[in-house]
This record gives sequence, structure tokens and C-alpha cells, in this order.
Amino acid sequence: MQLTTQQQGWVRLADMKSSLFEELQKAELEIQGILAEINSDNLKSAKSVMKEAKEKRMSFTRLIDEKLINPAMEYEKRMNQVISAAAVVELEMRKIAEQEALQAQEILNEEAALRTHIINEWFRIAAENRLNYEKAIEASYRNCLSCRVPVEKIPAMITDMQCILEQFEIPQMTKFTRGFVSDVRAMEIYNSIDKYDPVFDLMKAKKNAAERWVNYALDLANADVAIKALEKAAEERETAIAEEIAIETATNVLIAQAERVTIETPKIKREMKVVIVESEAWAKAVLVNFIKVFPVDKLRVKSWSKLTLAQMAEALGKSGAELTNLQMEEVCK
Amino acid sequence: MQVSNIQYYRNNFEAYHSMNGYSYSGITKASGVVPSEKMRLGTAVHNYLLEPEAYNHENREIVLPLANAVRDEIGALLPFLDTEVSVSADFEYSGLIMPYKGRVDMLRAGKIVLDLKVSEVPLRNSIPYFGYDRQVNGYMAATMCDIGMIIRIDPKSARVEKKMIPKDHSWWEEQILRFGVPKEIY
Repeated sequence: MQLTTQQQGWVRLADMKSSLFEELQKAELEIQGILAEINSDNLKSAKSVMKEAKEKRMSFTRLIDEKLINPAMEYEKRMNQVISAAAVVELEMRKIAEQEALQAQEILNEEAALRTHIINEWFRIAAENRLNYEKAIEASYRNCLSCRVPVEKIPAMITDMQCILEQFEIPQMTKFTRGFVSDVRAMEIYNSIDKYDPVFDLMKAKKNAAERWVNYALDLANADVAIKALEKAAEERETAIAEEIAIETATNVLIAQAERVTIETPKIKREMKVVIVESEAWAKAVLVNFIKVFPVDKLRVKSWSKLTLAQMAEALGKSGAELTNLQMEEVCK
Repeated sequence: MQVSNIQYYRNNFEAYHSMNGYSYSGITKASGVVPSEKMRLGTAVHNYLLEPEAYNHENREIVLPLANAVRDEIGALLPFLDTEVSVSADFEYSGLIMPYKGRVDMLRAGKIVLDLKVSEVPLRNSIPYFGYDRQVNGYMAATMCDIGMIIRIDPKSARVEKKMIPKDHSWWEEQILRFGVPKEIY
């Protein structure tokens, strides 16, 4: 059978390998023979034989490197270049997606905060409005006692009181500062929440006003004591309302937090790394910082004697410690 | 389901344990578990935050950050909450009555129940596995609260997760049918 040029080359390589190994074996045996008697000359000769054998071995392995291994590795190098370039693009895409997700999350968070704000504000406004009606009626009642207004003048007083209550303006909603939610979306949220309607409370307050003076004649009999008792009761009522508002507000905030939707963000691994600078000063800075921080928990070394500056710098980057005279950079993966 | 005869107790866990009534852990036989290291850590966080007099100040460096993280999350509501409250009530359904007992971590009676869990397991997994939603619904029913929430703190990362528990008495109604007695002889 006729061999191709390439096949002939492989056969020749096999022959070269066999003859090399024979020569290497001979050299090994020769050294064993020389060193049967140990002296300076024999040691020198043995070293010379070994040097010669090494050169023969290297000329063979160099040939394999040049003709076989290096050309084969070229494919990997080219593939790696393409993959690295693609990885850069893919990382950028993930960063953009992360940015978009974070922005969307911020909008969602703000929407939730706005919704909670409006709910809480309507609750506060309603509670304060009711309290304002109550306070006005109570203040008027105490004022009547204090001025010793005669009982016969009370019906007219009540009518006036009811007219005054009608003039009350409901408390204003405090402003919510938006950064992300659009005007249209904010309006949608605002409209989606039941608004406080003061009509029912006003009716109730007017009815309360009409009934409040039922015991006036009796209270007038000991007006000063009655005023003191009423003042204390009004104070307690105000405290209770404030507490009610605080509980409702805090509860709504907690609920809003628990119900908040979380958007999944693309996974980007971020690491801080020490920027490598090929200088003596950089090497000293790494050594100084390494001794100071000594981040052994961030090191993976098999042999302490082979610990390199690059490994020290890597461990320092992972340590999160504050480093001096070293520049840091964030690396995304 | 109707709830009546609600009574609150400020007692320690042993006293609660000796109270009459069906609790969630009693029904599900979860009350006899030997506590693991992680469970003991959970108890320590629990104690420090809710029953400081019962905290023995072991593992302070781990317990304090976790307790503080939970406290920050609950925020402005915390001063208005009662902590470690035992409650008993009569649960009534379909003509049967079952005595109930529960020990609520944090409570504003008539408003909100908060249950604290120290666990690495996300609530989406632990709630269906351990039936925490049923447990909290028992608390909610007995304390006349419409809002129930579980707050989980991860003992490793100190991250807090919160989840609302929808009001649902169906599991408790089933238990009343199992363990309840006719009203007439209760």
C-alpha cells in the first residue's frame, strides 16, 4: 500500500520518537554507570550526558510544538477571540437589561409609594376633618360654659354652629414628590383610590352639634369643673386620633412593602479588583496592603512559598478592605 | 366561622403551653419538634425583639443585627404592637364549637397580626410546606384582625421578606368539624 506524504510523515515521526527514547534510555543507563563511583569528575560527566540528552529531547519536542501543538492551538485562540468579543457584547446587553429592570423597579416602587401616600392621606384627611368638627363643637360648648351663655340662647347658637361647620374646608393633601411616575400614571393611580367624601361626616357633625348641648343646663351648674373635664377629654380624644392615624399609616406602608412587585434583574456578577500596574511602587503597595489586611480567607494557595503578587492583589480586591495607594476597578461578569 | 369568648393573656410560653384549646401546632403535631441550632437562633432573635427579658444575650453579634433588621422593617408600627400575646377563643362553625389557642408574635388587636420567622427558606416555599398561612389565619380569626403578615428574616444575609396572608378560614372550619363539640354540650 502506497502511503500519502502525510502518513509517511507520521511514520517518520514515530521512528524519530523510538530512536530518541532509545537514546534517552542509553543516556540514563550511562549516567547510572558513571555514578557507580561518585567523584567530582564523574558528576561532571554525568551532568554533561544529561545536558546532551535534554537537548536531543528538546529538539524533538520543539518539533512537535512547532508542527503540531502550536498550529492546533491557533484554532482555540481564534475561537476564544470570537467568544470573548461576543461575551463583551452579551455583558453589555445584560447591563442594559439590568438598567432597564432597575428603572422599571424604581417606577413600580414609586407607584406603590404614591398609592400608599394617597390612601394614607385620605385616611388622615378624613380623621382630621372629623376631629376638626369635633374640636369646633367642643370648643364652642366649652366657650358657652365659660361665658355662661344662658340656656335660652343655645338653640340659636346651635344653628350658628351648624352654619360654621358647613364653611369648614377639608385638610389639604400633602404633596408627593415624583421622580419616575408620569403625570398620566399618577392620575390613574389617584383616580383608582376611593376619595374621602366629607358630606356624611358633615351631616353627622351637624347632628352631633344639635345633640351636644342636651346636658348644657346641668354642666352650667358647675361650669368650671365641667370645662376642665371636657378639656381633658378633648386632649385624650386628640391623642387617640393621632395614634389611630399613625397606626393606619404605618400599617398601610407595611402592606405596600409586602405587596410590592419585585422585577427579576439579569444576573451580573460584580467584583472589585486591584488595577495591576507594572511598577515597583505598585508591588510595594500590594505587599504593604497585604501585610496590613492579610486576607487569608480570600486566598487559595497550595504552596505558600509560591504566593505571587498577582494572587495577593486578587485577594486584596476580594477582601473589601480599604486599601492605600492601590487603584480599584469594578469588573462585571 | 364565628369567633367568640376572646381572651388575651400576657404569659410566658410554658403558661401558654398549659392553656386549653387547639392550636395550629397542636393540631399539626408540630409542637414536639426538638429545636435545631437554627431554630435556637430564631428563638434568640425572637426573644431579643419581642421578649427581651427572656433573651440570655448569647450570640449577640448574630442576633442583634437580625433583630435590628426586623425592627427597621416594621418601622413606625412597632410602638403600637403588643408582642408575644397568648389568645384563646371559641371557634364556632356548623353548630360545633372548638376551643382555640394561639401565641401571636406581634399584634394590634382588631387590626393586624404579624408573625416573625427566622429562616433561610423563602416564604413561597415555607408557607405551603409548613402551612404558615393557616397558622396566621388562626391568629387573625382569634384576634379579629383582617390583616395578617409574615415577616421572614434570613439569618445569613439579614434580608427581610414580607408576605401578606389572605383571610381564609376554610382550614379552621375543617378543624372545627373534626374536633368541635355541639354548642349545646360545650
